[in-house]
Amino acid sequence: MSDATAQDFIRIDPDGQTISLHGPWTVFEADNLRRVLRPQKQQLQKAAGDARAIDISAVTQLDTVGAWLIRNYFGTQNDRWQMTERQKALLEFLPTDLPRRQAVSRKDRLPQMIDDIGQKTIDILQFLYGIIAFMGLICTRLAANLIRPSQLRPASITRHIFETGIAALPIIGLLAFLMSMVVSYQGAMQLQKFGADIFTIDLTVISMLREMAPLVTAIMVAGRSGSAFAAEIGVMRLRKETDALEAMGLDPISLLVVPRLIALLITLPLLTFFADIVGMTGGAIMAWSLLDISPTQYIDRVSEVATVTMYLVGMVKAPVFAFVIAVICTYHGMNVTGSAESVGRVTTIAVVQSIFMVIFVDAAFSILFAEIGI
Amino acid sequence: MTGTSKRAVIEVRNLTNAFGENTVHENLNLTLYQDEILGIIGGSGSGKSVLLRTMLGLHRPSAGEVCIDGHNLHELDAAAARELEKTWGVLFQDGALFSGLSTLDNVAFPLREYTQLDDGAIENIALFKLQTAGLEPDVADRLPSSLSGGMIKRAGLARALALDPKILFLDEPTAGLDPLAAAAFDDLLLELRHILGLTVIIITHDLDTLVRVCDRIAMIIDKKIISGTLAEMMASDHSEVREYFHGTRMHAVETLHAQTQAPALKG
Repeated sequence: MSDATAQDFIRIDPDGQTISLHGPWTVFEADNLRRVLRPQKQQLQKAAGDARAIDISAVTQLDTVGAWLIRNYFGTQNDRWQMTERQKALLEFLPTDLPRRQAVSRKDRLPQMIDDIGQKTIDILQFLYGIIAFMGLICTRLAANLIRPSQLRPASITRHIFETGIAALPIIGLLAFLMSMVVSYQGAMQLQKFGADIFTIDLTVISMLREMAPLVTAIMVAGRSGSAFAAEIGVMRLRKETDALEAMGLDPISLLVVPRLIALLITLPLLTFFADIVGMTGGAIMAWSLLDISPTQYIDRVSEVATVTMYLVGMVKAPVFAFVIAVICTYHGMNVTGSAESVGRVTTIAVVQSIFMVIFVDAAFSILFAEIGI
Repeated sequence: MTGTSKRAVIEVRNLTNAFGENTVHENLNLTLYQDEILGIIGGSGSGKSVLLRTMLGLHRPSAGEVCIDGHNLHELDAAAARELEKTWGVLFQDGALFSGLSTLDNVAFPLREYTQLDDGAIENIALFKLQTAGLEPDVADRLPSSLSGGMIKRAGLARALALDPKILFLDEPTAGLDPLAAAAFDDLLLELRHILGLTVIIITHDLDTLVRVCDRIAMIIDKKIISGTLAEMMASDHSEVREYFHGTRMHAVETLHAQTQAPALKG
């Protein structure tokens, strides 16, 4: 009834004695009703005042919104009204006035901006305080568990080793292979110009061992397992499972956080080592296909270039990355409050922050190693 | 209660629902008449919620059909199905409020989607529905996560009532409410039925609701429905129906009801 006219809804007999309403007065017609009635609101209200009878019994459908409109236009019911029992009950059911909502006070823009900056600063400081306190808490629980190994949860730890480590092998391997391919290609293209093809191997091996393998593995694990940590623990918090643990006198940190941390501390170095091996294998394949360097030559070259220090420089970072990822992601998981929506938000924040911190820590390591000359 | 003068609103015919080996409903039949409040009961896992989901078209049955207002739910095209869906309101067990929207916006959501009313009018209607459901206006801006269990039920009811539905589906509406709130909910339901001419289906474990509100009771037993008025169910010979309606808790409710609320009981 998009082209409905006032006649469809309301008729006033010529002498102005009776106003009768017709058609459906429902929420779905409310827009039509308002459109056709609003221009004549004053005449209608005046007519309603003068009329001897207002007949709404011919209305085919009446719901709360329709009843609302009727009252707006024709005032509250009285003995001049003709209607069915049900219509009468409905009109009486409507409250006489709507509860007023307190208007949200809008602040001026500048104070609001300063307010926002202050609030954000406080949030950041609180986060820093929270995560440092959390780190301390985890360390004490970890130490307590290590002193009394009977308190460790082997079942939980092995499950997380499987999920964060073994299940990640294919994707980490593929990633390491592709990274070594990319580096080899770039190296070969540039170094061939100077006839220094053989240095492609140096480039690939050194960059994989020192930087690429640990960094790429850590970023992958942060995205893969860090998000799982935050989401799993977040959901458990939402469903009050952590409260249930605490009520049983069990410590959620020891039960949920420590096993994940231990698992990641074990798996991330192993995954890094795996990425080292696959990366160097990839380097060999690329050297063979791009530069016609045979695998035996490649192995000779690698044993000249690669040193134990180089390998250790890469490997020493892995547990640090593992710690960073586990702490940030479980911290965010433990701080989920409110609704399911916040689990999604917190998981995103956890992954972004842990990847950022992994790269930040990596940069700090680079500076440190450069300063001490390794 | 199967008088020919009554118009059937929902007809479930020969419904069979099976999940793998597990058959939940088998040739189940159920008819719901206009202006009627039907309580669906049954033990845990007897398929009450599956029956509700099937009636809403959220679950496709293995066999059988569901007709609402004479339309076969599973043969409608998308547009016709949407028209039908506008005529019912659903209160899910845990409220199913949209967690990203404020309480007011939750109620306003169907109005925004299905009507062209302006924002001011929608807000007024939504506030009125919240008030109808017994919520104070100051909860309007709060997110569902900050509401208590009872408030969530009320907000869910307000959302179900947003479009003034003809059929109301309620999945355990009084579970988790305190007795006063539950009684108020029952009163509201009776009043709404009287005023708006609602047809209501309630899944409930609440014996008070069953006794006070429901015109007819349908019990799912052995994958089928046994239905009747409270008096008929009380008099039934079926062993499981007897067990349900002659348990100690039912007796307590009955006795209490007979003593205090006798005039309110419909004969």
